[in-house]
Amino acid sequence: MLEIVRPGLWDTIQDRGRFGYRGIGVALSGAMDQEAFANANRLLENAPNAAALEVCQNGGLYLFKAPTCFVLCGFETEAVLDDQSIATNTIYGAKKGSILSVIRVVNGVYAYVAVKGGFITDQKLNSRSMHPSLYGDQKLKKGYQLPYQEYEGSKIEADCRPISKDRQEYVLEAIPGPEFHYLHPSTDFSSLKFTLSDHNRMGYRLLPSVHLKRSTESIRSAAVFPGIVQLTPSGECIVLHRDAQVSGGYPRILILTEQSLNWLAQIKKGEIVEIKCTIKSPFT
Amino acid sequence: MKHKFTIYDMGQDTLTIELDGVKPIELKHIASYLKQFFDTDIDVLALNQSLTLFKKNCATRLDEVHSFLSTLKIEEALAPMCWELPIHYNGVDLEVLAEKLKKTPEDLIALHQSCTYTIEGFGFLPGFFYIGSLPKALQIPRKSTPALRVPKRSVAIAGTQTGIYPIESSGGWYVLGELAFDLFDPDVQHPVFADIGDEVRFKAISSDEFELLRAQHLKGAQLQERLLCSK
Repeated sequence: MLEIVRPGLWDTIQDRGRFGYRGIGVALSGAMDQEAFANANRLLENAPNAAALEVCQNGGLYLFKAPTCFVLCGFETEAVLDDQSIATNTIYGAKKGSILSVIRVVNGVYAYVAVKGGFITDQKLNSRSMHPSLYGDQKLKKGYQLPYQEYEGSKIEADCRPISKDRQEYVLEAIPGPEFHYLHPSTDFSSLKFTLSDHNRMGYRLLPSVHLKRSTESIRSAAVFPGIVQLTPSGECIVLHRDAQVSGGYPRILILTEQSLNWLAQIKKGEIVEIKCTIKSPFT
Repeated sequence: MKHKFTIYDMGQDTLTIELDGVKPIELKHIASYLKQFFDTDIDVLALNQSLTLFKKNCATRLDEVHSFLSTLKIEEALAPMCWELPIHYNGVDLEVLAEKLKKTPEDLIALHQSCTYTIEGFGFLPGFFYIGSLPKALQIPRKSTPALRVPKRSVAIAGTQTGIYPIESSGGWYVLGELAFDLFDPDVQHPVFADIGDEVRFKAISSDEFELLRAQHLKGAQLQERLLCSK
């Protein structure tokens, strides 16, 4: 078990997400930065869908109640294992009684704590990704116990080259959405700049640097999913992320690529986001 | 296929098909044919005359899907399932809604039970389905300020539709009453008993009947049997 001694700002259990149930309205969910999550399981030679602990900005204090190996994946993150600073993307052994403190994600927003074999928490509809509609809880609370299989080998014979990568000034890539034509034809789609406002696991509010001229028609409720960029009546854009609901009534102007969604997950409030859409809309 | 349709490439793993004038039950059948076409567990969201397919790299098969649908024949006489849902009409919004629609709460309750409806699609929350179409006299735009907490099992109306909240949520629909059982069970393989295209009737029950039904905790096949309309 890993005990949540003190929860972080927004700790959840995540995996690749919940597939096959969107037809009955169940959100996809899954790790916000799927790339960092996948790295964690790759380093530990886990199954690709093994569940990990996702921390957001400020992590908490976690007690290992059985020996295991673990990694902390993501960009630069300040963390301490039993009073020793640890690096990201590197395998460490934890003893029974070891305490991990994830202080803050310095560069980026989300980081992942994965253990050998993954966390074996309660599965619902073939996934362990926490979503309030299925688990009742939005996030992990003080005292929660996350089960994992004990693992004695302190070192794993794995390809454990650390992936030290700095976060860059990413340009997010998009393709036109079905309601692309709701934007005025004079909009420069090769480089749209936004300021990132508030965000959570469901969506990101982006404030455009220029006034987006648009049609004011509304649409009937239509399918939405992570990556869809909606245009709201007030002229802001909402990028839907992993926990987004399956339908929405705002025009779907753009669709971000999967890789861009991972990058967006690591951008902080107040930072500039650039979206590039070079493909001409096939829709009318 | 007799319906005109357009297919949108929504990125590599998603396709949306919009069909003109298609009925919900036809959508259900087209969805099942598409599942056969892909010969695998493909996720299909049916909503408002559209089908959205989620499957790895499905966009590369857009042309194939197009020719498949062009030659597809749907049976004309499709028999929908019919469910009779027991409702305790004690909703918090009955009074205010009666005032807005210039009726008595009793009128609203009677009107709501006066038609057979159709499940038009899923969305919003897990297990939330849109049930249409309300009689004209009950149609009203959603609240301008949504309620922060709409309780689980609330039966509510807005626009042309009825919806039932599978879990507690915020929401802008007017609550008429409470369904006597849970709509969504994430711990079973088929978490929702009904499907798009099914017919729905509402039946008022007393608070005693409501308590009795709640206490029975019907699930799965037993629940379906209890809810099936008598022909």
